[in-house]
Amino acid sequence: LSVVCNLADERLLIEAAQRDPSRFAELYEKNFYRVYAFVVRRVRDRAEAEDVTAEVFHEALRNLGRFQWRGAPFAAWLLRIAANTLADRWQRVGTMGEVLVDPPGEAAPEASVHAEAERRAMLFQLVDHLPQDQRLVILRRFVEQKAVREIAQELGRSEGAVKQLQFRALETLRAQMRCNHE
Amino acid sequence: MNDLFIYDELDRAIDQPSAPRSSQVETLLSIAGELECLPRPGFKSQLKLELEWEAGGRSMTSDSRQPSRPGYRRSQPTAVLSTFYGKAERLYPLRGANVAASAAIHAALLLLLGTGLVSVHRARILQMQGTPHETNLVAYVPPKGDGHEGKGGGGANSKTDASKGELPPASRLQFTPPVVEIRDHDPKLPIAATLIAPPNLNLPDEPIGKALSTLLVPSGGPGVRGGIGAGSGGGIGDKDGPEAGDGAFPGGVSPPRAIYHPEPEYSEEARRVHFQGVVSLLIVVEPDGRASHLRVMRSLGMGLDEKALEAVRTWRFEPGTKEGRPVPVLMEVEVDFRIH
Repeated sequence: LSVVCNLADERLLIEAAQRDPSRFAELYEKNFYRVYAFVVRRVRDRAEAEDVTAEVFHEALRNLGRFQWRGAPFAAWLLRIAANTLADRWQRVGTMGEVLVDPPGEAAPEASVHAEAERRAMLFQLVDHLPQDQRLVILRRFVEQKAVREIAQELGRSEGAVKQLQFRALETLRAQMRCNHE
Repeated sequence: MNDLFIYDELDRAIDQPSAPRSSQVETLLSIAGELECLPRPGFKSQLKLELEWEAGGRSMTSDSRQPSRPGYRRSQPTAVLSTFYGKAERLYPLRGANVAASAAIHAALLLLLGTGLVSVHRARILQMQGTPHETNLVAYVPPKGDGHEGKGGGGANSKTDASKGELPPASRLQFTPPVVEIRDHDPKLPIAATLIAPPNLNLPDEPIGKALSTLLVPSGGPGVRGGIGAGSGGGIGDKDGPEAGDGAFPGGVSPPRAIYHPEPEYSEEARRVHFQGVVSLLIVVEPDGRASHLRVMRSLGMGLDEKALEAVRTWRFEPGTKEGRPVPVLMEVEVDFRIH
């Protein structure tokens, strides 16, 4: 992500959060979409991804005092917690005879997994920075799964205007993703 | 026109993945597919608040874009005395001087209580919850009877009206009715003449007679069956009965008269089952004509007692008087609940 600070700054941030847990907010802001993107790729739906993500951050906050700086990014520690949390879930659900998407044994190599999570996290974060009307259309169309006509009624716009906002939002995201990769 | 076409094409492709699309739309479609995994709009800020609370109740301000959700809090033990432990500085400021003043006041009160300089008394109203006699109004207790008149009466078959005199001692039991002319001066079992009335009535003993009479010659009056007056039954007065009554309460107290007495409402519960009856209340009619110290003597239940109390509290009386002065009078009122 563009907002990732260098490792030295991150270390200072972690130490500050260890002294004063309220500083954990900054670590949360920098890593929320990373963890969520990592989790959502592995679970069946949004609600479950949100549950797991919440569990990961609560766990991280509880164990922040035990974190020891070894030169690896803080995100790596969070993703390890996420992986353990998912493994626990799979173990629990497995005993109930259910099968989840992408179980641990079939996971892709770690580097590509992290790169994929990083890319998707960047996309999610870019949505937050879209102009307000474009962002509203994206959230209603893809999160709430509403039809263009419904969104047009809610926003008091024509269907054509909503389709235009949808197109422009996706174009903006595509352009920014390309720009960040280059 | 071209633009409009591509907006429609993109939208159609989002809804129908199998629909034909251009390479531009294809690229956008792959992004759209990933956006379907976006978290709910409020989730990030909600989780942030949860973590904020878990971190000790302090607010985190690094992301001012995220709307806060006032009032959203998980119940955590750390919420106890959050101000005292400095955890609520974002809610309101903690002033050291105020804390010190509060602590000093509490310490002073505890010290005063500990040394016995301050004691707590029960409210007076609780002391009124005993029998009606605790109101110290027994001198004004009206006798039971029809209307508000006394119903004492008696007589000694004399040709003249009863002579003037005072009432004999009061007692709850009567063995010897009062007489004006004592015929047997040497009885075998002498028992003082009494009048049935509350025993602590403090009335003069001699000479016994009818309080409102103008006749000074001793006479028991034309009544029958003992007593004094034109009635019968061993009392004093012109009615029938062993008590005293000349149209006034004992001690010359005139009865209160209700001048404003709206009917009580029926309770919904009693109305549903057509419940009827009489609630009897004991009240004190104050000199200003208001009813006070209301107590239910005979209860009906089903919410009717409360309705009776509610109504009688609004009643207004012409107060009872003694020697022309309004005085408090204890009396019983009956509130009739009937469904017509």
